[in-house]
Amino acid sequence: MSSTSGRPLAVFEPKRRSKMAEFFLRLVREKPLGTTCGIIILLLIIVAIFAEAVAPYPYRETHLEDRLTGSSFRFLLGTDYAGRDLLSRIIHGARISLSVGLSATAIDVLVGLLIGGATGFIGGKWDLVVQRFVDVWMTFPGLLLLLTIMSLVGPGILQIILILGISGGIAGSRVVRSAVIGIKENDYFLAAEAIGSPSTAILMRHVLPNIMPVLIIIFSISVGGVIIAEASLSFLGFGLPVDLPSWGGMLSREGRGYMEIAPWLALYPGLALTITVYSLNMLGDAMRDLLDPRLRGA
Amino acid sequence: MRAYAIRRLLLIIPTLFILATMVFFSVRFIPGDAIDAMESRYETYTGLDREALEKQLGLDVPIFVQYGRWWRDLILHGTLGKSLFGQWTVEEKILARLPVTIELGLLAIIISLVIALPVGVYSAIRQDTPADYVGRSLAVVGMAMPNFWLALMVIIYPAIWWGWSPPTQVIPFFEDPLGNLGVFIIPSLILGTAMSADTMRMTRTMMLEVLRQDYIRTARSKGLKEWVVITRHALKNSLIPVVTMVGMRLPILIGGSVIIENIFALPGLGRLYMLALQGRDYPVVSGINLFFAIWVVGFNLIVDLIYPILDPRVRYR
Amino acid sequence: MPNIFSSRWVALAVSTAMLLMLVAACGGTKTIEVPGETKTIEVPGETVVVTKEVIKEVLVPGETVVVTKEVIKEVPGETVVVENEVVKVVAGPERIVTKEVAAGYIIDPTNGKVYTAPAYGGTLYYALDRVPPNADQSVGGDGAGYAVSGVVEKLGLANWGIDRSVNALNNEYLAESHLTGNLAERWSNPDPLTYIFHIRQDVNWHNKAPMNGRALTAEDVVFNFHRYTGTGSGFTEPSAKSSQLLQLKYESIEAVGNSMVIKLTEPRFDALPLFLDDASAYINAPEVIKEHGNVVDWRNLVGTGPFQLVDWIEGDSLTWERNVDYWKNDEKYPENQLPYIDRLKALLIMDSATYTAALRAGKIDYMGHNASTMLKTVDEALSLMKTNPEINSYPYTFRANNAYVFNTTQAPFDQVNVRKAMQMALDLDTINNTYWSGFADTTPQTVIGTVQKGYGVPFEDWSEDVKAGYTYNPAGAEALLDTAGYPRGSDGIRFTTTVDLNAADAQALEYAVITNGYFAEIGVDVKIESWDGAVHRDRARGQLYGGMTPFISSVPYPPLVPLAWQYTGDLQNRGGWSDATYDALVDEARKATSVAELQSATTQAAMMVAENHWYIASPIAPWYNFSQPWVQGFDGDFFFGGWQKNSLFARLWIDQNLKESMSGR
Repeated sequence: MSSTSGRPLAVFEPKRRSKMAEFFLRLVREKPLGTTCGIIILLLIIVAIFAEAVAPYPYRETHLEDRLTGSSFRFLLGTDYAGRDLLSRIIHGARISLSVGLSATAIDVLVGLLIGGATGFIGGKWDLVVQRFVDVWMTFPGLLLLLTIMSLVGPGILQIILILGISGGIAGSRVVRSAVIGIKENDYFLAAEAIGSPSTAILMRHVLPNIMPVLIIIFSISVGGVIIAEASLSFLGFGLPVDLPSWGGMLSREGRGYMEIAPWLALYPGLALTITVYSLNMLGDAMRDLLDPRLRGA
Repeated sequence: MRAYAIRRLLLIIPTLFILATMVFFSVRFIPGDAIDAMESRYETYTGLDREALEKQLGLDVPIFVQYGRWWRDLILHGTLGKSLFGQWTVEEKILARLPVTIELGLLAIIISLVIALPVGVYSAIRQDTPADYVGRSLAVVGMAMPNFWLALMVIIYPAIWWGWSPPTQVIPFFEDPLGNLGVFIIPSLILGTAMSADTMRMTRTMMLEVLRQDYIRTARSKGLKEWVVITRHALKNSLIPVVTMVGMRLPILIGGSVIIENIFALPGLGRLYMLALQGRDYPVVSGINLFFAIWVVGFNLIVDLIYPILDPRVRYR
Repeated sequence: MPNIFSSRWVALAVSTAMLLMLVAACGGTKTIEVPGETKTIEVPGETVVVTKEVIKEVLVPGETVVVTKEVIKEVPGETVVVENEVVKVVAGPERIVTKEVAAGYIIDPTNGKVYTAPAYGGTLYYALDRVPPNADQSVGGDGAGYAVSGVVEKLGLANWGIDRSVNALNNEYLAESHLTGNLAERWSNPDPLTYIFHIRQDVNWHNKAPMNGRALTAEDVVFNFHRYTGTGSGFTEPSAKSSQLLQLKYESIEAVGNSMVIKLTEPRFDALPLFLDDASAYINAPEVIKEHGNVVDWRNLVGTGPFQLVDWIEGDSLTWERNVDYWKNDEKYPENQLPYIDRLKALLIMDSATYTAALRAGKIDYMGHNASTMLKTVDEALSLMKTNPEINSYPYTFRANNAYVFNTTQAPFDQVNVRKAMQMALDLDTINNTYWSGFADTTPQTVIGTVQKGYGVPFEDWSEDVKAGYTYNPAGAEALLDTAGYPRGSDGIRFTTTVDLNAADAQALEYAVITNGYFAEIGVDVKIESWDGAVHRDRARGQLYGGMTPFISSVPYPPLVPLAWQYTGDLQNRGGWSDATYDALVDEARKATSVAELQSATTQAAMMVAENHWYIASPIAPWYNFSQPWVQGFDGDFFFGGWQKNSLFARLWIDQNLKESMSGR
C-alpha cells in the first residue's frame, strides 16, 4: 500500500490480542448488563465449586432450638423448621442447581443438534420419519415419563438430568431444524453446493456458524429453563431427591409451607433462582449480540 | 407441497398409534395400581377388597385384553372408555375441563404475545438503551421467577393482609363474562409473563438479524420511513422462528398448566391429568394423551405448512 | 311461723327475682344493685345478656336472699363482656337453679356453650381436598363416604347429644355406649347369637326415582345386609370382602315384621357396633341396586338422610340440598327438624395454601377433619390463629401419625437391639417443645391408643425394662449398636438406611428431617426417599423399602383392627413381621367371648409389639379444625362414626346476620 506521496506507509500492526481478550473487552465496554450478570454467574460457579468451604454449616445439620429464626449472626439468612441454616443450604443449592442445569443443557444441546441439525440438513424421507418420532416424543407427557422412570428406579439426580436434557433436546430440535432449513435455502449455501463443496465442508463452514446464534440462544435459555423446570417438578413432587438442598425443592417445600410464618424460607431460594436464571439469560443475550456475525453492529 | 401435506397427514395415523400404545403400556408399568392409589389417598386401614374393585374397574383381565377393549371402544363405539373414578366417560371429563384449559391457555398466549412482541421489536430497534434493558429485564424476570412462587404469593399474602382470595369457582363465560375473566386473569397473567421471555428474545434476535440485512438497507436508502421499513419488510421475515416458537406453545392450550391449575383451583386438563396419573386412572391417562397428541401433531403440521408462506425460499421436496 | 311452703312466699321470691331480671335486661348503662355486696360496672354500649342464672331461695329459717348471676357472652360487633356476680348465700334446705336464656341465644346442653339460636337457611361451604372415587362405599372403599355420607344412613350413629365430657367426639373413638340408634330405633340381643333391630317406621326414602319417597322397610335394610354379607337376596358373595362385618359368621339375616333379625353361628360379644356403624354399612336403595348392580354412579344415589346429592361437577364441587322431609330432629334440641342449612357445598381445592386463603377470605365456612382439610402442623395452625383470631380453631389429637415401621425382613432392622437403639436416639420431648410448641403428647403408647381404656396399656404400667427402651438415651443407643455389630466407621457412620415417604405428606417430610438429625448423632445416616402415593403403598406392602416408613399408631379404632396390622401376611403388615406367638394372641382376641378375654389378649399383643420395637413410637400431635365465627353449634366435635362425615353439617347452622356483617356476603 503506498500513499499518494509514493513513500510506502509503515504497515501498522496493532498489538496482537487474543480473540478471547478482545471479546471480553467488547463485552465490558458495550454490554454493561451482560458483564454484571457474567460476574454474578462467575461468583456462583466459584461458590458452587467451593461449597463445603464457603458454607458455615453442613446443609443437613439441624439445630432444633433455633428453628424458624430470621437472620441472625449465627444464621445469616435464618433457619428452617428443623433449624437448618438457610445460607448453607442455598450455597450447596448453587452447586446442585448449576450442575443439573449445565449437564442437562449439555445433553439438551447435543440431542437438539444431532436430531434437528441432521434431519434439517438431510431432509427428505429421513426428515419425515424422524420428525414423526419427535412428534410422538413431544406428545408423550413428561409427567408420565418422569413418574414411570422415577417409580421404577427411584428419585435421583441422574434421572432428572437425563429426562430434562433429552426432552429439552428433542423439543428444541424443531427450532434447530427450522433454522437449518432456513439456512439451507440461503443463496450462498446453494452456491456452495453448486460449486461442489462436500457436505461436511458445507456443514462446518456454512451451516454451523450460522446456527451458532440459535445454539447460543438455546443454551442460555436452557440452563435457566432447566433450573426453573426442576423447581416446578419439585413442586409437583417429581423433582430432585428431597434430601438435596436444590433451590427449587427448598422453594416448593419449606418455602411454600412457611410463606406466612417464615417468609425468608421462600424469599432467599426464590431470589437465588430468579437472579441466577436472569443473569444466565442476560449474559446469553449479551454474548449472542457480540458473537453473532449477523448482529454485529448495523 | 400438496404431496407433502398428504404424506404428513397419512403419517399421523401410525404416529398416534405408536404413541397410544406406548402410553397405554407404560402407565400400567408403574408400580402401584388404582387400588393402591385409593388406599393411599383415602387412608383405608382396613384395606380394600382388591378382587371386587378390580372387577368393578375392569382391571381383572390381562393387559392385552384391556388393550383390545380400549381400541374396540374407541373405534367401534367412539368412546375413550369410562374413567375408573366416578361414572363419567373419559370424553365427558375431558370436554368438561377443556373450556377452562383453552381459556387459560389462550389468555396466557395472548398476554405473552402482548408483552413479547412489542418488547422484542423495541429492544431490537433501540438496542442497548435503558429502555431495552428494562423491557427485556421485565420479560426475563417473568420467566426467571418460578411461576408457582408468584402464584403462591398471590394466594397467600392478600388473604392475610386484606382478607381477599381469588375466586374459588369457575364462573361460566356466558353467565357472567366479567366474572369469568376475573377468575382467569391472574392465572393467565402469571402463566403469560413466564412464557413471554422466550418469544421476546426470539423476536428481538430475528429483528436484529433482519434489520442488518441488505434489503433493509436498501429500503432505508430508498427513503422509506422507519416504521414502514419495520412493519412491511422486517417483521414478516423475523416472525418465522417466532411462529415456530408460538407453535411450540400451543400445546398449552390443551395441556394446561398443572401447577397454576392446582394453585388457583381451576378444573383444567392439566390437573385432571396429574390426578389421573397419581390415581392410576388408566383410561383417563390414555384418553388425554391421545387427545393431546392429536392436537399437537395437528398444530405442528399447521405450523410446518405456514412456514413456506412466510418464507417463500423454503420448499418441501 | 310462716309456712315455708306457702305459695305466697314463693310467689314473692319469684317475682322479686323476675323484677331484678327485668331491670338487668334493660340496655344502656349497666348498673346492677342488689342490697348487700354490689359491684357496679359502668359500660358503654349495648349489653347482651345471654344467660342468666337465677337462683331461687325458697323460704328457709333465717335469711332469704335472692341471687342473680349474670353471664354475658361477647358477640363480635357488640360490646362488652361483663360478669357481675352478686352472691350472698345463706344456708338453706333447697336451692333451685334455673337458667334463663335471652331471646336469640341457646345453651348447648352437651357442653354448656352458648350459641345464637338455631336458624334455618343458608349455604355452608367447605373445602374438600380429595375427589371421592364414586358413590358406592362398598365398591369404592372409604373414599366414597365423602360424597354419600349425609345422603345414605346407617343403623346407628354417634350420639350427638352425648355429654362432651364423656366423649368430645373429636378423636375417632366411640365406645359402644356412645352410639345411638339412627335407622334402627332400638335393638335387642335375646341370646348371644341373635340380634333384633327394630327399624324406624317414620323414615321415607328421598323423593327421587325410583324410590319416590316411599317408606323405608325392614326388607330394605335386610337387602343391604345381604349384599354386604352375601347371605341372601340373590347375593352369594359379599360386595366387599374387606368389610368388618365379615368378621362374623352368619346363619341368617331376615326381615321379621318391622325388624331385622340377624342370627350368628358363633357368638361375638362386640358385634353390635359393627351392625350399627360399620364403615360401609350404609342402607342403600334396593331398587337402584337391583337395576344397576351397585350405586357407583352418583346420579343413581337415593337415600334417607338429611341431604340429597344434587350436583357433582367433575373436578369442581359437590352440592347437596336439604331433605325437607327428613325424619330426624336435633339430638340436642329435639324440637328442631334437621338439617338447618338449605345447601351444603364442597369445593374441590387441592392446594392447602389455596383453601387456607379461601378460609381467611370468608369463602369457605369449615376447614377440618370431615373434609380432610384440617391443618396438620402446629406452626400453620398458630399462624392462622394469629392472623385471623376471629376464626374458631379446634385442636384435637387422636393418633400418632409418624410411627416408623421397620423393615424387619432384612438387615439392619432385623435385630431388635438395632431398632431399640433407633428409638433411644430420639429426644421426643425436645422435638415436641420445638416442632410442636409443646402441644404434643410424647408419652409412648402401644399400637392401641390409651384412649381405649383397658385395651391400650398406659406407659406407667409398662415394665421398667421396656420403659428404658423408650427413653431418650443416645449413649445407650450407641452402646447397643456397637454390640449389635455396627461400630462407627472411619467417617463416623455406622450404617446407612432410608426412610420411605409419601410425596403428598409434607408433614411426614418435616418430621423425617428432624428425626434424621438425631439418628445422625448416633452415627446412623438416614436418607429420605419420597415416592408417589401409589408407589409408596406398593413398596410398603411388599417390604420393598430400605429401612423405615411411617405409619399410624396409638389408634382409637376397635382393637381388632390395629392388632391385624402386625399379623403375618396381613395387607397392612408393612414391617414384614411374622411371629407365631403374636399371631396366636391375635387369634385369641378374635375368638374372645367376653370383654375381659379380649382385653387380656389385646394388651398382651400390644405389649409384645412394644417390647419388640416393631415401631418407633411417635408423639401424638394435634391437628386443627377451623370454622368461621358465624357457623354455630360446632365445638370441634366432628366424629359421627365410620365415614358419616356430612352428618356434622346437618347439625350446624349459620348466623346469617353475623355472616353478613362480617363478610358482607
